[in-house]
Amino acid sequence: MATEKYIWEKDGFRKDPYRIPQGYFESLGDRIISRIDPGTEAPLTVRPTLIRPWMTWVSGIAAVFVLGWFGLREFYLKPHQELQIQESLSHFTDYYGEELNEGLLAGFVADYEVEVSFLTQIDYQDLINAEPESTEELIYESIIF
Amino acid sequence: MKETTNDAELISQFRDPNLREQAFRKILARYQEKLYWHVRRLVVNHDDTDDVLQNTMIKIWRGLTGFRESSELYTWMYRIASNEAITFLKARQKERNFIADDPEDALIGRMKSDPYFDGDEVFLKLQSVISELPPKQQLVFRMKYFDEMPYEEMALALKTSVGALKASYHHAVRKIQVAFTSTD
Repeated sequence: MATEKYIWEKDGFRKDPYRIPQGYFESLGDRIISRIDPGTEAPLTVRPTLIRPWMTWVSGIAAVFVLGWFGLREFYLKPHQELQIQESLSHFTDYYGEELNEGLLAGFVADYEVEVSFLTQIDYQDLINAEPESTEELIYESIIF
Repeated sequence: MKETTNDAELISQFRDPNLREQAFRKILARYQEKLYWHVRRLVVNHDDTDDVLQNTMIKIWRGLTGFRESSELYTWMYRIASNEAITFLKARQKERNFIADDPEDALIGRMKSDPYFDGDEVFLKLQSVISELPPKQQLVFRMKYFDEMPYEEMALALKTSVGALKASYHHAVRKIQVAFTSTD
């Protein structure tokens, strides 16, 4: 760079015009140590972090498990369970036909551990009075998966 | 056989209260001269350098336990020394402008009175011109011109970009040239 060259020429040389007192570095350590108050132990200046590295790993693994579980439940277990209950219900209504009553239905619900929303979706009497071929449909509609 | 301990071991020893002082003395012995000359070229006067260096070392003592070792120990120490020197230069610039009728004369007078300074008139003039630059430009100019430090190394030590450093150096050189040509 031309301007830098100009300064070099002006400056003439880069010799160090600085000197230091004799024995300066030998005594520097003692002088510094004498200025340090032993009571002022260096405090840990570790910045508080909300998420520590191990937490990231744990939460990542947990997220994978949760997503995996919901995926499995939504796309495999639930359709599979619905199919099973549907088949069982079909056998059940075919078997009892017109003899189907409240007690038998409650037994079915208990046996297959399904949650049924009778009160909100279906009237018991409708079930009892329904034609045998439509009973299965009515019961199935009232089941919550 | 001479025992050599690497920086990581010294830092680890420093964190042990029983070994702290001994480790710190070893760190001082290893780096005090390099840091001294870095600071000296920035603040010029020996007594000022001594003050800045001692403050630097005290800050290093206080911060070393929490040092995260994301950079080399010397780079970290160098950064503290540079910041301390910049703080000093800013204070001196303010003080000179406030107190002295002619800040340039005041600075040259101070340099001449330093028994550990042998600069000739040209060097004094150069120092005087440099001292008029903003402290960060002074720092960059001195590190490049006197220490011949590569920009990449400077960027690491000062936590800035190479482009910014080049621009600072360029501005500094231009200003110095203008100051010299105006007095020719």
